[in-house]
Amino acid sequence: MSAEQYTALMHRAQEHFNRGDLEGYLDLYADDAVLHDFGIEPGRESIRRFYEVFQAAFPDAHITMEDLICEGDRVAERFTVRATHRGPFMRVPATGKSVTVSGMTILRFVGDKCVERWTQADFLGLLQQLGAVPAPEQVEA
Amino acid sequence: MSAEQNKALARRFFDEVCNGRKLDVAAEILTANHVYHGPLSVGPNRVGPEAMAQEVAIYQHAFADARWVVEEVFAAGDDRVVVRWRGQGTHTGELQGIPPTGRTVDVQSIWVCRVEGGKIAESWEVWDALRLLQQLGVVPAPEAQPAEPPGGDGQAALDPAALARTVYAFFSNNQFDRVLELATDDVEIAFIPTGQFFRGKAGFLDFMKGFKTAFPDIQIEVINQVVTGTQVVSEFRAWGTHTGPLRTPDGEIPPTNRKAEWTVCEVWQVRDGKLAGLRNYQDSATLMRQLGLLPETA
Repeated sequence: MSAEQYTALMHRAQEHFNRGDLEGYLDLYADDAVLHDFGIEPGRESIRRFYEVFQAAFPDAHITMEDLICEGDRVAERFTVRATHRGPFMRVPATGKSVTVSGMTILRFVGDKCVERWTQADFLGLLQQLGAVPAPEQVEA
Repeated sequence: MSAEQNKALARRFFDEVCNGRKLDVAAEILTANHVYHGPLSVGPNRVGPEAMAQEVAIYQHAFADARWVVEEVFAAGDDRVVVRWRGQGTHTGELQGIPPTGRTVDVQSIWVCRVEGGKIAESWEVWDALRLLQQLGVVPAPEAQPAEPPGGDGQAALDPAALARTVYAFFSNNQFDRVLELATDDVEIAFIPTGQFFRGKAGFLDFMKGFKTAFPDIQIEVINQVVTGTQVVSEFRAWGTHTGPLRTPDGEIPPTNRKAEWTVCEVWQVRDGKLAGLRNYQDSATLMRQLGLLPETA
């Protein structure tokens, strides 16, 4: 697939995600896709369970694509998630707080399906914004 | 610049500035007004190569054996590079107010760079700062009991396992003076493969320098530890290149310039938070085979 096709695929997946359409979003993944770094089992069903928990915690989660970089079978994305904390997540009960979390992700594709993905998100920043971990003394606004 | 040149530029940052400890090289890789956008939780943007070098230096100081391992690099278009890497090390020095814990850490990161005129002009990174704090025991790990906070005055004695990891990290980084601070005056080393003994701090220094002379790039990574209140057994992997004479009771083995990797087991006695004695058992046969001094096994 071309960089243009991957770009279109990523935009479509994100639109599904931002609408809360988990089924549509999961279409991005192969059945045996592996998501590293989230501590979950391989497979699309496991990915579904992860995002069900995430959506329950942050029902209005909205991803903004900051940069998209395509090369061969790899797609890297720099993103920002904005959301309201309405349910338990990472052992923190709902706080009703609005959060902004930056992240990076790399996807490896076979054809039009993501088979493997690595993600780093600023979970420390998330917990700080939820008040679960003290914030550093000096943080740029 | 070509994609290959851009990838080489990013790799150079890890090879020379981070792992090579040549902080000045940052100015050859980053533009004078390079802007680093790190995760918000870790603080404000860093501007310029010196600020990036200082950022790297913080981790080199806090983790004497810090290693930056590049797992994947790819470039796209004529200006973007993506690096997926992991950072590993032993917490031997203060890190933003957290006194040394002797714990080992392994955290991952993704770094995206924009190249302009042959240098990195702007970059964005998200790395797992939460995992780092969890591994140091400062923030509770998921599904775990709350960790014991490390001692507050920076002087608290390390437990025997942390003491061993700290010593190995200082040894890997050639900080022999720091190692000796963590040994008792009457420390005694038994090197089982040759039946040699080394006594006192001078003897300990001689023992360490023997290996560092033969393998100047020698590194140690702990694989397993078993610990009691006063003893610790550590299994570790050692690797290096044999570019100097290797001393043995039967004379010196001249450099073979071969790379070797072998396993070692040490049994330590700890007294008052310091190393009082150790017995070193190691797989000398594998080492000698890798140096071409023993025939390969069938």
